[in-house]
Amino acid sequence: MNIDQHWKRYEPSSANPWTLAKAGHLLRRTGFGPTTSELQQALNDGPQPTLDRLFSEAKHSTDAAQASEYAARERSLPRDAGGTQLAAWWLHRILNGSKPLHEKICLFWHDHFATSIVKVQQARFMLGHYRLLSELALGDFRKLVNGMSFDPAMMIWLDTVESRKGKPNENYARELMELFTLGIGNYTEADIREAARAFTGYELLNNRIVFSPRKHDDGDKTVFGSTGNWNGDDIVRLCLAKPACAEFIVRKLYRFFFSDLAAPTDDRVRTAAALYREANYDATTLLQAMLRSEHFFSPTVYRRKVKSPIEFAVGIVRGLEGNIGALPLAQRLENLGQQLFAPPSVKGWDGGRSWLNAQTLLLRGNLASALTSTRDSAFTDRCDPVKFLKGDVSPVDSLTKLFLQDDLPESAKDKLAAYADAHPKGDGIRSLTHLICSLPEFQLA
Amino acid sequence: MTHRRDFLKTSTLLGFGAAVPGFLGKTAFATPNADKAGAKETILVVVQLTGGNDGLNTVIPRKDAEYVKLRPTIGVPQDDVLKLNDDYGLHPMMEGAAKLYADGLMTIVHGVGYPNPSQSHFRSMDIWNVGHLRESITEGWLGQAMFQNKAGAFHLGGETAPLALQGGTVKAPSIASLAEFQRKFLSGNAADASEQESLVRSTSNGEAGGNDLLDFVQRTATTTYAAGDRLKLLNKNYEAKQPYPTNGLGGKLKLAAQLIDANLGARIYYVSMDGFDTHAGQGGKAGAHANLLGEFSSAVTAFVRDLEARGHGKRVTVLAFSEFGRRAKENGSRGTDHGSGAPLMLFGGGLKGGIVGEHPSLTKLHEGNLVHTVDFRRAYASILKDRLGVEPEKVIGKGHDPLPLFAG
Amino acid sequence: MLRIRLIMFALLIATTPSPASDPLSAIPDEADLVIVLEKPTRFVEAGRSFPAIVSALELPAVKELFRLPNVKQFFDLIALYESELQTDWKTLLNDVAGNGIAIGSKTDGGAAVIVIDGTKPKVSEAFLNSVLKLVAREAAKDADKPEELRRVKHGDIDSVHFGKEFHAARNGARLYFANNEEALHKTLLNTPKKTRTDARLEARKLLSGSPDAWLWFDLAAAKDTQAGRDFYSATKRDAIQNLVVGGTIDALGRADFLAAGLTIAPKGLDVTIRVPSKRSELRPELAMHVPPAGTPGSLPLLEPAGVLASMSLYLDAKTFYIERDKLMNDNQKADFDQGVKDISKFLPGSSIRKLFEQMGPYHRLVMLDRVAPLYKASPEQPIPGFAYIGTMRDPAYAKTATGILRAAALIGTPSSGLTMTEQTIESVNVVVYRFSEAKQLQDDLEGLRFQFSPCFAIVGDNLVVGSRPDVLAPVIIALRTEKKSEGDPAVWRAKAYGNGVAGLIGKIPEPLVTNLMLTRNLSLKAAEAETKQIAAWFETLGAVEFRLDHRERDYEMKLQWTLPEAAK
Repeated sequence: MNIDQHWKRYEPSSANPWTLAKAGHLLRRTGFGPTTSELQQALNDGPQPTLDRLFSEAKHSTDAAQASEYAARERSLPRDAGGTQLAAWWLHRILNGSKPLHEKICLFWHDHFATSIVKVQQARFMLGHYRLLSELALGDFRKLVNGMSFDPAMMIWLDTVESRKGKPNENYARELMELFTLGIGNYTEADIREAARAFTGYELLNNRIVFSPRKHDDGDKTVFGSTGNWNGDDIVRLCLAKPACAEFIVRKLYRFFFSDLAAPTDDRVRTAAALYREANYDATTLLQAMLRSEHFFSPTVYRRKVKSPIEFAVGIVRGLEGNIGALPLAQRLENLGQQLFAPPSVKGWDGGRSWLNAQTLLLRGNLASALTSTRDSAFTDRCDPVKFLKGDVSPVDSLTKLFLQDDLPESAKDKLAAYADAHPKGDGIRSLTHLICSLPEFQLA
Repeated sequence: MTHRRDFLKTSTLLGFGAAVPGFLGKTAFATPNADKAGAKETILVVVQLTGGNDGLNTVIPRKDAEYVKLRPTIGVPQDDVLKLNDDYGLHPMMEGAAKLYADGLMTIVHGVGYPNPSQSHFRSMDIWNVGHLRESITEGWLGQAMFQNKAGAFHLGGETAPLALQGGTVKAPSIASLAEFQRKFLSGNAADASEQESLVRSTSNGEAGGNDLLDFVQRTATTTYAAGDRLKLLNKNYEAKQPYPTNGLGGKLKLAAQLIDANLGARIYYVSMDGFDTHAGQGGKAGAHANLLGEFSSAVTAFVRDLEARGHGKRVTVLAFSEFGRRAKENGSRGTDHGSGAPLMLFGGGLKGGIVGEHPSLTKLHEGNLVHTVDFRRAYASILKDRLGVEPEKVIGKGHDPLPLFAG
Repeated sequence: MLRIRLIMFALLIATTPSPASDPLSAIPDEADLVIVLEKPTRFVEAGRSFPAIVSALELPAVKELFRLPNVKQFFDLIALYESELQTDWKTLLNDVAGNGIAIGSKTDGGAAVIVIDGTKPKVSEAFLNSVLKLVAREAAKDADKPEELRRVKHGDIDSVHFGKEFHAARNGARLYFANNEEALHKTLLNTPKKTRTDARLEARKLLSGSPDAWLWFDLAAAKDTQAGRDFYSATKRDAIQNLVVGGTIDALGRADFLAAGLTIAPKGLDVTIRVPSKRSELRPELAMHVPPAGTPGSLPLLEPAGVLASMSLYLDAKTFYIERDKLMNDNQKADFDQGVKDISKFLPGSSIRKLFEQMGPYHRLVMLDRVAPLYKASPEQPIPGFAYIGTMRDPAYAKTATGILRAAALIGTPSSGLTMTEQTIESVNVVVYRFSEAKQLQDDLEGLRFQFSPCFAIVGDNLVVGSRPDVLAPVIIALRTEKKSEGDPAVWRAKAYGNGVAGLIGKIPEPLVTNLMLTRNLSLKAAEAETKQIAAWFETLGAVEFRLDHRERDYEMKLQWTLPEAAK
């Protein structure tokens, strides 16, 4: 089994050329929506150099990093800060930062380890949870899971703070196996019961996590047939030792980055999983192999994902080079079903088709209108297409190139052009932008 | 938390795009368990009476001397009570409800509560919202039901969405008015707006070119516009068969009726009415509490009659509950303090009608509170099974026998 | 034919006597709330040149407001009128409303009518036509329900109606607008009784000076409703209500109407509310709110360094205790007596009764910008420190009060781990308590107690209780350097200080800076600069004082905003 056989690297050729559409696909999947210049640069550079740049250790611009850190101070984001402010904090990072791939992967892990402020109720613990994700998002999965086991937010979320010797709480052990590392069918109830004993002895006292050795179960536990006085790290080690773990993560990454419609082939899963294991669960190695592949740029993956609300909204704002406040945008995203730091349950967001129904589709259209109309009281004229286009003589071409890389039916483009001709100035351009963002094609990533 | 096991299977999403499969010519995502009893599109409308409704002055014992003793100033005179049967009657402001009762469209369950009742608004409301007594609360009973039967729900009103609806596959939208169902277009005049509207529609009808996902988006878009049209039409021409009162609850229930009639497919509607925390100056036959009951009764009556006239009578059930009742004895400020053991009220067709259960004793009180005679989870069990097509165990756990609330 | 009709119409208009220029006299009897602006031009001018508003307009956040669609629409509208009527808005305002504006409304149902008296009938006519054109245009945008203009005759006057909510009419230089057709009808056809108009003018008389805008509210009608009656009967015997707002409620209960006036001047702004309730007629059991004749209503406000807000009031605990049966209902009395008994068990040698009798009637409260964290567990967003300063009637009060405070602390010690120390602050002996961070309190899981380190001291003949030790030094200094004065007749006063808020923003800028970054996506630098600008703006605001006064002839609630220039 050759990684190259199923994850052959994409090198543009005349049979499979590098196009604007593919550039757009790459930038959308590895971020939240490109600007015109980012598209142009990606088109000029080609796929692999662009991916080099995306994976490189680029730091957030100093201004953005400073602003984000300031907004994360305890006086700015106190313990009892509301969920919306917390969500706005992350959204602010996404809007102003320069590490789209990093934030996108943080979003993946956030969905994977879905922990919600609704139960945790402590904004600073959620902030700490995010920092853990952020530090290890592209790094060592083992370290990440170990960190999660004793992350204060996670411990409150899955009741580890209630778990003590003699009365262990199985919640974390169960989700660790079922949702975080292995998936159903790869463990038994006995494994869960025994593993739960390792996650004992922690308590929440005066808003701090405190460990009491006498409340911790130090005895021998038998998990996956292996016996010893396992602690939390050992349990994680035992989980990761099972082949099912790497495959589980590969499948989840595939769903997140590749397709809402189809699952990956068994061969692809096995080869990627093997690579992941050989690299000691290094996320960068795995993702590089997956995202640099020809398969990633193939027609079965192109436009096979529904944009999440955040991708939809941020895509519009970034595309129009707007300057929107994160707080009002976060409030609208809540209604679209995606409040950062508040997934609906430990399963995370269902995603895919569940982002769209008659109500949310309508709300998306209205949000696009609010962003571009300059008439909304929260957004005012901060995202004005007229300002962005600066007197462009062919707005339809520029906008369809920016938002859809020209990949839309001729009939649709003709209708849009007819509208633009009839309404060439001011509000007409704003409406045109709204109409383009309302196209079904624009809902797909 | 047994439902988590399903999540990795391909999620069949049903917002209310699923309501019109035939119209689209393709089978959209079908309602599972469509052939199971109780899973036909029956609808539950929950009316939350926030603050702690004084059940003893709502469903009033007619010939009980103890009642008069306990409530010297706020008691309702026996002659004014609207008779339901020999022993009990409704508050005089609830004429509409009394008529519904006479027509077999109302069921009252006496003395509903739970062991060790909490007197805290928040804790007790949480308990009613999640359907269990554990400390850890993240998902509501209706949210879990929605997860099971893949139905959609609406929260109508401007308040924060209730905990009861959390936990479904999608967040239940909070709607304050029909205007939120209208697409907004930036335009200087009506002609421009309609030009844009038709452009959006025509570009949503294209060819998917083999991309099933694009096809899904296109179909969802078509459903969106169809639903929007129905609602616009309804809004224009909606003539309630019985006029809705112009109060808060009336407006919300009218909106619910319009959404139900528009066949959007949602099966749960949640509204709330505030103001029931009558610690002082509650009033008896007339006064603050009486006005609330009057608003409640007239709104619910208009709703039930309206739906009946439109042919939805049998499948819509209204459940009215409050987080607790109030003390049997009035306090020194001519009001009542937090208590327990209030009645549950259900309205609509498909009900058995009448009064269920035993009224709490007015003499054997516990620390001044009425002792509940039936656990609220038994009512939930009945609703889950017979109205939402969900196994009660999966939501509220074992050990709660469903009450006999529904006919057939 | 048409020409003849037009000529006759014109003659009719010319010969119809112009109504007397007193818009108040046109407000129908049914209105229970009336607002009058006698000189609208002066009012708008005063508002526009008010220094705080002028300086506010410099703030980026406020400038941003002007980009809001609704606000833009408003100014576009004004420009539209100016161009259509070939004039500038000031002249227009004077022509159309120069002789006053009166608004009357009925609180039950919300029907309202506005009467605008101008000086030039032709201009009023042109203005009304302009308004009608605009209303018609807005309605045309909503294609679903196009409405038509309707005209109805009311005697000699034509009224115009549009939909359910827009109704207008003109008689000479007088314009009428209403949101309810029947209300307009009544206004046009009926002449209000002179007694009714006179009653409303009583409100104007009760207010001193010449307010820019004044209001009359029919209290008698409000109290006559079931809700009103229930309210009064319920609050008469509720201890908390009586303690806190008893005097106010009683005064309102005795009055038939309420008058309010607004005066804007370059030095500040004044809102006065008065009801014609005499001090001597206050319910006797509420004597705790009113000092005996010849004694001050409240001591001067303390203004220690870093003050955010300062309060001074009169409340006689002894009188409260004596009259308590009349001030509480049976339930509360039972609880109170039980509570007194319970606490007395822990206080040998003292009693709550003695406390009430020895406590002085003058109380002061200050809030200071002391925000540094007190404990490791303190949240970074603190509650500003505050202090209570009370007088004594009897020197023994010092011992009684401190004894009770110490006992209370002892009771709380086991569960919250209070530790006590004695410190000397500004040569005064202070007792300071701190909570233990090692204990978890079931009732305070959020750790609210870590915002406090309660302390108390006796300073001269004052008892001082503080929420944290660092408020004591400035308070002690303020007490020592306080000038002897007559005090103030008002029985309740509170003042908020603009430079106090400015100081607080300076100490804790983070919440404001972060909010600016998250709502308008400002850069950190820009947000910090704007925050400084906002703090500076607060410095220019001076202070706002709120007072309650049982005066001889009336009861007054007054809000007085004094800008710093006046202090110079």
